[in-house]
Parts: sequence; C-alpha cells; structure tokens
Amino acid sequence: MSFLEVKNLHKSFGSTQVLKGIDFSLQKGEVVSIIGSSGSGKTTLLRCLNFLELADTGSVWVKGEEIFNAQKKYADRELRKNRLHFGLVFQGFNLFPQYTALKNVRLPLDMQTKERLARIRKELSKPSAEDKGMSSKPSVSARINAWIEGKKTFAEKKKQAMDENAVKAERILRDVGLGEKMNNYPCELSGGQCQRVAIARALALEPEILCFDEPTSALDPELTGEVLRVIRSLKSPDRAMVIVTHEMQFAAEISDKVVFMADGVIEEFGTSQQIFCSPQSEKLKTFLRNYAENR
Amino acid sequence: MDKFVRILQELAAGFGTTVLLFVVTLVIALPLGLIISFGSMSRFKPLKYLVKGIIWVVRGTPLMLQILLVSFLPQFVFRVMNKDLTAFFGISMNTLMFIFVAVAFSINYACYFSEIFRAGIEAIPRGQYEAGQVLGMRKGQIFFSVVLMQVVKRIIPPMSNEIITLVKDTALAQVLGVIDLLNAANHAVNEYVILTPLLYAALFYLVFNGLLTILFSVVEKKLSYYKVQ
Repeated sequence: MSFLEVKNLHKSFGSTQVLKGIDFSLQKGEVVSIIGSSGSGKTTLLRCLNFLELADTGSVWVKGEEIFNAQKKYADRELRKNRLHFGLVFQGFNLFPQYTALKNVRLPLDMQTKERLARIRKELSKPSAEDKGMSSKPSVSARINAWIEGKKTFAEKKKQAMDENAVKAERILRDVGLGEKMNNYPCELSGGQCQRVAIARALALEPEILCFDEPTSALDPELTGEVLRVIRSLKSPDRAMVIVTHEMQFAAEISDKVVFMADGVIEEFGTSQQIFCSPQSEKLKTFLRNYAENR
Repeated sequence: MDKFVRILQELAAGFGTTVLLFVVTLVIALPLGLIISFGSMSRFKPLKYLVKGIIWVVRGTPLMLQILLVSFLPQFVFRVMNKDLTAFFGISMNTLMFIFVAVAFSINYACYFSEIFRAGIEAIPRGQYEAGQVLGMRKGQIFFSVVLMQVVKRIIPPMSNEIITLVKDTALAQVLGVIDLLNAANHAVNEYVILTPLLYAALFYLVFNGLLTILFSVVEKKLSYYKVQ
C-alpha cells in the first residue's frame, strides 16, 4: 500500500487541458521532486493535491483511504478535513502580514484548539440520559453554579491548550533557525526568513505530506541556500514531501524519486539517479540540456 | 455678552443633534455597508445585480431627495399619518423627523461604504485566502482573522474621505426641520440679525473634522507596523 497514490488526474481550465492523466505513488519517508518546464502542469498538480483546484477526473488516496474522487461531491467541511493530510508552502510565502512570525505559526493551531473545545463544550451541554430521567429539575442556583464551574474549567483548559500551542510554535520556529525573529512582522524579515516562517507554519499542523511549490523561485539567489537547507533537514521517515522546483542540483540530491512533467503528463518517472544520469525520453534530455546550458 | 452665551447654547444644542446623526449613521452604515458589499460580490447573479441596482439608485440620486422620500413613505405608501406614528411610539414629531433623516443617511452612506469595502476586499491577494485554506480554516475564519485587518488598513484613506463628507452632509437634515448645527446657526442669524453665528458654526465643523483627521492619522500610524501587499 502506497502512502500517497494519485490516480488518473485530469484538470482543464476552460478549453486548456493542463493535466492529462497523472498517476504516481509515493512511500512514507520519501521525497519526490517534480521538474519540468513552465506550463507543464507542475503547480496545478500540487494545487489539485491540496484541493485548491478540484480535479475534473481522478482520485487521490492517502494510506489506502480515498480522500478525493472527482466523481463525488464533497462538502466544504470534508474537503477541509481531508486537506489536512497535506501541507503546502507557496512560492510567494503568503504569510499573514498583520501577525508576527510566531502568531503566523500559531494561528491555525489556535483555531483548531478553539474549534475542538467548542465541540467538547457542545457535547457537555447536552443533557445526559441520567439527567433526563430525573424527576425534579436542579435548582436555578445549582445550575448557575454548575455553569460557572464549567466556564472556569474551560478557561483553564483553553489556556493550557493555547500555551501548548505557543510552546510548539516556538520550538518549530527555532528548528527552522528563527528563534530570534519570532516577534518580528513579515515586513521586517528577509525573503528567506519569510519562507522559513511559511515552512514552520505548514509544519505546525503536522501534515503527513508536505508540498512545496517552487519554494525558492521568489528569492534572491543568495537567500535560496538557507531555505534549501531547512527543506533538507525536514526529510524524515515520518512524512513524505513533494517538491516542485527549478533547482536541479537540489532536486537531484534530496529526491528519492523524480517526476518529469511535460505537457500535462508524466513524461518520465524514476529515481533521482535514473532521471538525471540516464534520461530516456527526448523531452527530458532536451530539458536537462537546456538547463545545463542556461546556468 | 448674554446674547453670545445664548447663541452658543443654541449652537451647542444643534451640534449635539449633528453629532448624534453622525454617530447613528456610522454605527448603522458601517456594518450595513459590509453586508451590502458581500451582496454586490455574490456569486448568485440575481442577488448581485439586485444589490448593484440598489447601489446605482442610491448613489445616483440626491441625498436630499432620498430624505424627503423616506419622510413621505409612511403616508403615501403605508397610509399611516405621522401624528399616528408619534402617538404609537410615544415620541415627539422632532424625534420622528430625526429618525427619517437617520434612515435615509444610513442607507445612503451604507451604499457608498459598500463600494469602499468591495474595493478593499477585492484587492486582497488570492494567496491569502489560499494560505488560510491549506491551513484548514473555514471561510469565516479566513475572512475575520486573515482578511479583515488587511482590508481595514487599505480602506482607511477612502473611508476618512467619506466620513468627513458625512460630517458636512448632516446639514441636509434641516429639510425635515431637524435643528442641526447649521439650522441652529441660521435661526440665530435671523433672530439676532448678525452674521457671526454662521462663522461659529463653521468653526464647530472645522474643529470636528480636524479631530477626525487627527484620529484617522493616529489609526493609520497604529497600523503601520505591518504592510499589505
């Protein structure tokens, strides 16, 4: 059973067919890079995995479970839940400018905490079977007291959970080398630092599959190193990574497998060794030759 | 001297009405404008065009006409006399007139505000929504926690323009006989046959708008810690 399996993905925008049947699979702990010239559908594929675009046909499976099938209708809530298998780091960071680096990382965690607590609270406020059976209703003052008690324990629980979120966010930011910049706003950070905050933000929700959409393309050349270093350090047996990139050196070195896309199909798929050292298709050979000449 | 104090008292009372109309209009028109802006951006076409039509009518006709129209609605459409309304609600005729004016102002300004909100919301890059989506946020969470503060920062300059205009537009309240600042000044001019009350009134408006201008620049400075793309 594959960790991630993509089957027969098609996507069109109007009359333009961008993905023309994509199949690939990925094991736990693997890193796969997606390379190819611009317009080949790399980014669209990544967006389909994160449900930012919904594929026209095809399905996506994670750990043997079908989390998306184009034939089915999904409620917003289901998409939201299934999306959390994936994390996505954008080319343009997309940090929230009004929040500090720390708050950027915390925000999704805090929202989940609040939602979880609200759900628990709703459950608790439902009268249990015992209560219904009781003949006499509790007195008003007893009910008010119970309500106040409930409120207190909830406030404590919430504070505890929120503190845990803060600790977690701080740890992740330190892991990406931004321990000193936690309280800075995105406009005070360099592009490389912004992208590292964005990576930390994606990591906070502990996605099983972390996707990168050209993570260094918006950066000055001298800043790509720090971001690539962080991505390298994220390779772990617990998660898989999908990286769309133009950094061939990096792709060759970090990837277990490489997907070469051309005109909306996977032209070649193999290990890093196979793709870069013994390319088979003419298109891949041309692509690699052009890349070597242009750098 | 006695005359001066009396004139000042009358102007202050008028100014109170002006400020009340200003505050009531803002409190109603700001949230209403946000709701209207959602309507004008709706993906449900009939709603979108209905709202856009309303905005066109409201922005395309004079506010004074709208005030008159609102004040005649109960009599001509619902066949209810104003004196019955005052008796039913237990309010004075002056208060009723003030309510008519406030209703017209709120609707009028909500439509202008809605266009400012729309411009602000549409200027937020799609990436902000997408970032919220991939982090598992609901639409409401994305709007209120991510987008809104960026919209606020963007729309402060056009909003301050509109709000300063509102201060001066309150003078239109006198078409229904409401004693606002300008109306009070006018009364004083006629009563004492001197011109100075008008100048005092001008001073009141200037100081009020001056304070608002300062307030807006303070808010702008407060929000300068972040930049929106």
